[in-house]
Amino acid sequence: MILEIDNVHTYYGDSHVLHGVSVGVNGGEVVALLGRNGVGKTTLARSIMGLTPARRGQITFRNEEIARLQPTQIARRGIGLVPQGRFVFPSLTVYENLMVASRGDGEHGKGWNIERVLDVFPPLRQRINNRGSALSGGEQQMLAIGRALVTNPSLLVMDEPSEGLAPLMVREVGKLVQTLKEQGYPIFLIEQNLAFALEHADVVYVMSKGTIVFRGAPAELERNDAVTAQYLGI
Amino acid sequence: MSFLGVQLITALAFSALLFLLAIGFTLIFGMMNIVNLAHGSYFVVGSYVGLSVLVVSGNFYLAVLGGGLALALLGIVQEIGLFRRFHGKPLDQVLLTLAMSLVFDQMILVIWGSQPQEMPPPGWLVGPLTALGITFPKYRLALIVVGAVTALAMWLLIEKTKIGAIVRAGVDNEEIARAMGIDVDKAFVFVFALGSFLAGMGGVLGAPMLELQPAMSSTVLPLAIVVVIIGGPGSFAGALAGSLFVGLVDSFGKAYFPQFSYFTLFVPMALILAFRPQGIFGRA
Repeated sequence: MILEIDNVHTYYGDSHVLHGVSVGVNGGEVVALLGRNGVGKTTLARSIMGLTPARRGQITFRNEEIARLQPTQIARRGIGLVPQGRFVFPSLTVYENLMVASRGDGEHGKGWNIERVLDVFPPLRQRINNRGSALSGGEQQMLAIGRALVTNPSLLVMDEPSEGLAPLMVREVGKLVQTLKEQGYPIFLIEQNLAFALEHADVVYVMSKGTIVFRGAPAELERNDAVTAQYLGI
Repeated sequence: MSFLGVQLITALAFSALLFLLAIGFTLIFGMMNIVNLAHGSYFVVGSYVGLSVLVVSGNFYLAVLGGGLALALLGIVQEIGLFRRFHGKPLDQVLLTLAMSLVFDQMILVIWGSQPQEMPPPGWLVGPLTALGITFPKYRLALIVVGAVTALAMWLLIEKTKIGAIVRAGVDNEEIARAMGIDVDKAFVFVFALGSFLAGMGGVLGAPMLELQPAMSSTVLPLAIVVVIIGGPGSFAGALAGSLFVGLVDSFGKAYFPQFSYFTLFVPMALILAFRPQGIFGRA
């Protein structure tokens, strides 16, 4: 297992947000975490990255305990983050956004560099000297994904990559997720978009109020009307 | 006309000094969210260190370098040894920097005494230069040139280098920068060292124009704060525009309306705070 989250409890101050969450991601797998707004999905992503450290529990990445490490150390050990809300650096150009994050040569046969990201996302090449603040939502999402890729991660954590995107853009992001999956990248995909998650995931988890309430194959979730109705509002 | 010309040169020279002081202050504030109330003391300590180097070496340029390097070293020690322990605790940091400014002021009194001191400029910059029928003080013209060259160098560093991009990324979003594996702590040390260097260097350069006295920090720091508030924290353009504005308003205000000099300065600052609190070039 490349990423193992074991009985993690995370707090914001005195507010207990994650209650004993356990999730696993195997190499080459896309694992989706679904749930409504505010259940704690992004908090789990933040705990993985050390931005909101878990107060109890273990997070193991490539057999190393990372729960007490600093975010810079966790990122440099090979976890690439595509944050919810994109958070590209607004005062940096497209090129600079990629340059400051660029690191290493990769380990899945092909390294990611700036040129390769621009090949995969042609609109970014056209806007290469534009500042992050001047990009559209879709372009910012491409940049956020590209920025995570140039860190040459061993695992991608993608937090709601389809949020706020036009359907065409969602399809493009989906194609990229599929391509990365075929190249062997493990991806921890956090989503509210059920269809997007089910299309690409090998394993799905459902979270509600900071606890995991379902784990299984996408087909199992599709058949489970009780879970989708109660926890996903579908 | 002659008086206006000389006042303009004086104002621009003062703006140059303010820029040297404010650019470090604004980068530290914008990137690290530290309101470094000791930054004015860096300017003064730098000027006194420069004075000592000048007395020992007889070389003004070594004095400038010495003042800058001494403060750069002090900045690195402070950032690693003190500020890092109080990251994310703004009130603690403000109190810490206030305490440091008091310590520095007392250190100056103990080491260099309380008497105001003068520092002569290099011999070739003493005296006036006449151009277009107007007589300008040479040293103040030189300060303007140094300020402009420094501003250009800083712009190139911030806008055209990787380290500058990292600093700007840290100003934009420190948390995401860390999550991308960017060594923000190293960037903090760099910003602190550079900002302190420029403040110290500015102190030495300003010494021939301003009289050296221990209480100078309480005069220059409010001006630096006004520059940052008006220009916007973390912004090069803001530091430049703010320095020009404050230098011009302060100099002309004192020359033409001395009884209203602080009024002319702090009213624009209050208006900016009221209607555009992020500053002219700051981000909301």
